[in-house]
Amino acid sequence: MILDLSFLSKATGIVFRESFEAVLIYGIIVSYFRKNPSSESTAGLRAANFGLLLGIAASLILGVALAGAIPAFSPDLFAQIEILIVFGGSLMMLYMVFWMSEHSKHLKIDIESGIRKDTSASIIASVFVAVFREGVEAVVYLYSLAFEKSTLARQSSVVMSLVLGVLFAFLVYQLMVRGSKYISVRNVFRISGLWLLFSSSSLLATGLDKMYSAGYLEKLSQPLLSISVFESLAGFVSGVESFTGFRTQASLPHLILFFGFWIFVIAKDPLKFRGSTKPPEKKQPKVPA
Amino acid sequence: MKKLLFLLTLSLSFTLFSLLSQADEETVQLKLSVQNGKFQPSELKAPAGKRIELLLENKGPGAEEFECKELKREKVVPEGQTVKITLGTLKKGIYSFFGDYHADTAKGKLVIE
Repeated sequence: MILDLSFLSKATGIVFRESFEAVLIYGIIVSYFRKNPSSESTAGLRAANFGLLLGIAASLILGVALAGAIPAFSPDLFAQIEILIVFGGSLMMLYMVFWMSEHSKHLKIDIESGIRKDTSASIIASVFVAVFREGVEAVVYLYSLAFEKSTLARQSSVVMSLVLGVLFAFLVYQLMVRGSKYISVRNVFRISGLWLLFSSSSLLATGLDKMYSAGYLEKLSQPLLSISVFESLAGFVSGVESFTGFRTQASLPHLILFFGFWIFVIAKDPLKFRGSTKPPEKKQPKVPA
Repeated sequence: MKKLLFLLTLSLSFTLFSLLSQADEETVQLKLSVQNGKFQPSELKAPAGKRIELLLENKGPGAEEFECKELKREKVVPEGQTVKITLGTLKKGIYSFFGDYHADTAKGKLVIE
């Protein structure tokens, strides 16, 4: 096989970058259920896998359509679908954190009743959105590069980058699942919960930006808050912004959503950071990963 | 209580409706194209305080993703298509943008003065 090496490393990097967040979210949900073996966890794992497959399928179909394979599929229609998916995903992730909190109360009691329908839906949706959000971009990118220069080297490199990128992501996932064996249930619950909360908050801000970009809510899109940062910190600040959903140039809806979200979360405290009477932690049996 | 909720919903939907309707300010349309992983022109100029729309045409080959980190804009443009990206009213400054699929060559900036 002839490969275009410089291109291959770049494309692999992009596939890995795009799949990393999805792997983290899928990984923490799977670790969570592996830590709590019960009849619910089987259903939870099934829901996570279903969300994963659904996310990959949707990324492939919409990505190829958007890359130009279906001329009638307009970027504007895609933008609207994306806005709905982003806001829906944010709500579902928030819901999952509350569900996990509720669920962890009964950790010691093995609940015989299966997982509830609405919970399955929120797990499916969380994984789906995590995969779809970045997955669709990776598909558009690779698809158009594969057909931009129709050389064998280019096309085999595209296929290789896909394989390598997903392989790296899988390695990270394995490390996570293995690592989670050495962390207590409560900490897995907290770390994963925090991660989901940040994802949820970040999706809210992204959804708003996508609305502004499409021309919605324009009158409210002016920044109210404007924090200037040093040039040298710009990359770091931008990373913080995309991770937390905070905006240094925040419009009124950004401020309302961001502070509303975190005030709600802190008041409800789903991860139970407050509360003095913590029950002693019970050792969980080790589960093979 | 129900009446109050009803009135609240009604007024909220009116506000939403008026906000969703097109802004009536003067709009500056900027035209930009991307070909072979390069933006043309690579520098755009627009006045501050006016509503700005960007019309981006992708002349190919392949799709491109317009991205401006400062303005938090990200949009995929399929080959051969033109998309509209609303930037809104901007303050004076230089906003750099790039094409995410050809990040090493596709670079440009928007100067607001």
